Amino acid sequence: MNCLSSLLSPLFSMGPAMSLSTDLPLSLQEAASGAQHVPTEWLMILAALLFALGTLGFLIRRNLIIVFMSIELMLNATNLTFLAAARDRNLDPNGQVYAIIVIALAAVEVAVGLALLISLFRLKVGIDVEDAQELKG
Amino acid sequence: MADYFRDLIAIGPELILCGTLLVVLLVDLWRAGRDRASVWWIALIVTFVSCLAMVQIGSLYHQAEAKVDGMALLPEFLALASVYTLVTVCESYYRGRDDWLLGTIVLIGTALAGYRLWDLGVDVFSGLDQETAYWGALIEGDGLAIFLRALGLFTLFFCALFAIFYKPFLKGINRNGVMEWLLCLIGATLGGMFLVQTTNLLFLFLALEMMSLCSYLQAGMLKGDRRSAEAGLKYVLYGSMASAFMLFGFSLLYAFTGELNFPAIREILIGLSADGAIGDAEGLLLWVAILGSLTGFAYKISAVPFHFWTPDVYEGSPTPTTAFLAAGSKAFSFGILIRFVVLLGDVGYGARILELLAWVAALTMTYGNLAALRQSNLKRLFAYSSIAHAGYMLMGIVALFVITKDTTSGQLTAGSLNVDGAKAVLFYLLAYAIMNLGAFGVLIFLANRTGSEEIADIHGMGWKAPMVGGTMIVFLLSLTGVPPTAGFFGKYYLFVAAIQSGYGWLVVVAGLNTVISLVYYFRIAKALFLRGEEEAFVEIQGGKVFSLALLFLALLTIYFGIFAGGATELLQEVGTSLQSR
Amino acid sequence: MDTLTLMFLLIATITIAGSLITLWSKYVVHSVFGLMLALLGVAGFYVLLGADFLAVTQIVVYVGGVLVLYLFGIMLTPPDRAERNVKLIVFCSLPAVAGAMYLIGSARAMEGKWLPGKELPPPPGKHLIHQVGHSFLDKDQYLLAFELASVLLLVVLVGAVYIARRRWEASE
Repeated sequence: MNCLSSLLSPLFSMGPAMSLSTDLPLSLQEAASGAQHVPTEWLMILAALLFALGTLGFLIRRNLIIVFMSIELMLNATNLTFLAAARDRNLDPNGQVYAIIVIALAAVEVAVGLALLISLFRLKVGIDVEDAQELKG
Repeated sequence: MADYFRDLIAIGPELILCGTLLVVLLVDLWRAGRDRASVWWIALIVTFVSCLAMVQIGSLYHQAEAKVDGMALLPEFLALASVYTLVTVCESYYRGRDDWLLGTIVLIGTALAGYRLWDLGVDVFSGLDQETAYWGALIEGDGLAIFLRALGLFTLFFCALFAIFYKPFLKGINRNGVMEWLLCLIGATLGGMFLVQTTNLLFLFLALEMMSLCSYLQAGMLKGDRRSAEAGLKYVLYGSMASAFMLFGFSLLYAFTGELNFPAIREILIGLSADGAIGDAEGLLLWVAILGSLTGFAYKISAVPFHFWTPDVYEGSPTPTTAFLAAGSKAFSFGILIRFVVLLGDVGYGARILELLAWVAALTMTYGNLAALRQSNLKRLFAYSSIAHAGYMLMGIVALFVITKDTTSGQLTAGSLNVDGAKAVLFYLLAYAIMNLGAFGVLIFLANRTGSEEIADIHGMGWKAPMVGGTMIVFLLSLTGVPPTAGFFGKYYLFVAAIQSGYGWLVVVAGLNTVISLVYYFRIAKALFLRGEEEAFVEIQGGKVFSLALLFLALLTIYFGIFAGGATELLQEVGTSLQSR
Repeated sequence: MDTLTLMFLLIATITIAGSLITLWSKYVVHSVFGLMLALLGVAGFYVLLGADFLAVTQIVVYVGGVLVLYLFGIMLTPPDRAERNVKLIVFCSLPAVAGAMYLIGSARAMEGKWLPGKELPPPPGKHLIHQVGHSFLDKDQYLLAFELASVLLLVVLVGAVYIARRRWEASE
């Protein structure tokens, strides 16, 4: 619980006094880089599970919005793998940089996907996968 | 300061494209403004400020690089001046009839970027630049990168040119979307140009996404056309899926090696396989990682089984976009695939992956050619033909390494790098870009008149427009691989490389496929010329500039079909530079 | 069972439950809230992994931005017919579950073997987030990626706005 409070304290502190350069009592990274932490395999397994669920959603759901959400889940699983690996390397910043880029691009991807979805709907089509069937051959 | 300039100069062409992008955006914003008289003044001020900035940059550049003289920025000045003149002229004389303005600005920017790239290329190919890693080893400005960036600029130039003449962009509701379309075209090229330079998994993902996202948008850009919206949606849906798989592969690769740079990853994997540290569990994860990464590339080059989007997207997109997807996007993706395979092909499970890729190549070309046989829509036909050509080119990728099989243990090992494989793929990409751009150009020319893209509607059109029809024959011959065209040498080099690496059976499959492809390419030629002129239902007038551009492409096709030597030598050098890795 | 394991299990349950709701709920809006649960769970993992800045980013970008985008998307498109093909679900689930199990098995076997023979970089010191920030703006690290991402956002958002808006004539 100490971890969470140290995460939230900068958010609730008043003014710049609690800026990042201040030493937090027990910083999260210390907790994460310390001897006691969650084994990497667990996280990898969870990420694989999340990725599989996302794939499953992509395959079985026919509502296009839910299909996009499934892709979101898959990208989050990827991020989890990156961060778990980065933690193993003494909190390698590269993994975090990658995760930030992935978050940004996932957001853009959703924006593009929904824009195209809306433009298709403007032409009076439903959002079921089956409704996108003009192109065939 | 000096080291900043070194890196900035290395991405000069891309910076110029970024500038072009902004100019297009600004010019369109000015034109949309209510007070059109002020446009002239704003243009004047912006030009003045840009010139000042250029002088400033020029002097800094001069200080940083002793070898550059003060006239180095002259082309940029000229380009800026011509853009300014264009805007002014359009404001005063062509008000409301200046559809060609934005496209022309892009052409100028592209030419300028090409000039910068030429400068860089001279340095690289004359061996001046020994150290080619820039921006903290995010990008690699080697021969491969220079060649493919040049090819990308070439594609961009012709796609922008086609867009100026593409009818849906000139009439009706899509007139206002040309600016957005051009932005996305430049953005996609920009992403692709960075993609072929990168040796870093993070930057690779970013550049690939930039190319993909801009392509998705381009595909869905025709408003009021249900096929276009559907094409965009299908493209983004399957594309996001493929990039998620690719990203998962990258994340496992990172988890496994802890590195993002290709050379470092390679080093670690070589060390591991030398130690025999890759057991079953590690092997499986590595296998998943590499397969996942390849999924993303296979999707982009539309290899079976990730080809299903191709016909729909090619048919629904605006034709200039289709041309970009076929020529540019494919070239960029093959570029990064070459880098990926060269780095990881002979490590760990590389040999098994290459063997898998050989099967993929055979399937891809066979499926593409067989499916193309029964198409009636020209764009769909070319989509299947582009799948088939991806199969041919994969043959060159497979031939990058000689695979030897241990007869007793059945163990596959990849031997040394076969430079001819890379040379063959790159030459084929060049030939393919030229002939495909030409073919889509002819398609635009005819569809502008007939308003349709069906084979049945071009009957007898060859007689109405003999020059355009004649160029189409050249492109079709080249696509089939008949001498004396570039396509012939492309196939020839691919076959030679594949035989060198011991893929005789693949060459036989490809040879049979070439015969199949003759059937459907001949159908187009037959529709154009072997039907009576009386069957053509429209008259053809004008289109002089466009015909000249097509003629130029046809001449290029023949040129590379006769004098392939120069290009080949250059590409040989590129391939040799890959060996250092 | 120590606190950390307990937290892991709790967050894992939230994440998996959220994604299951996303996949199987009958109404799209329920799916969005399921996705919110899953994304919050992933943010929790980021906290466990020492990536506090990313956890906050995740909440701000996803929960604050992307989910709202989804809600708008739902409002702007016709209602879902909400059919679910049970046969297809079973058909697709089996290979997916089998694949996941296989992957899980090998990941389990990797215990303690990640990063074999790798020289670790020095620990980041007290403030990892400083390092992340510096690597984004350092010429010799990810400055170019950062700048390219900004160009990407500009181009793609201009394009997306054009595609999503009504026809030009209708708006004028």
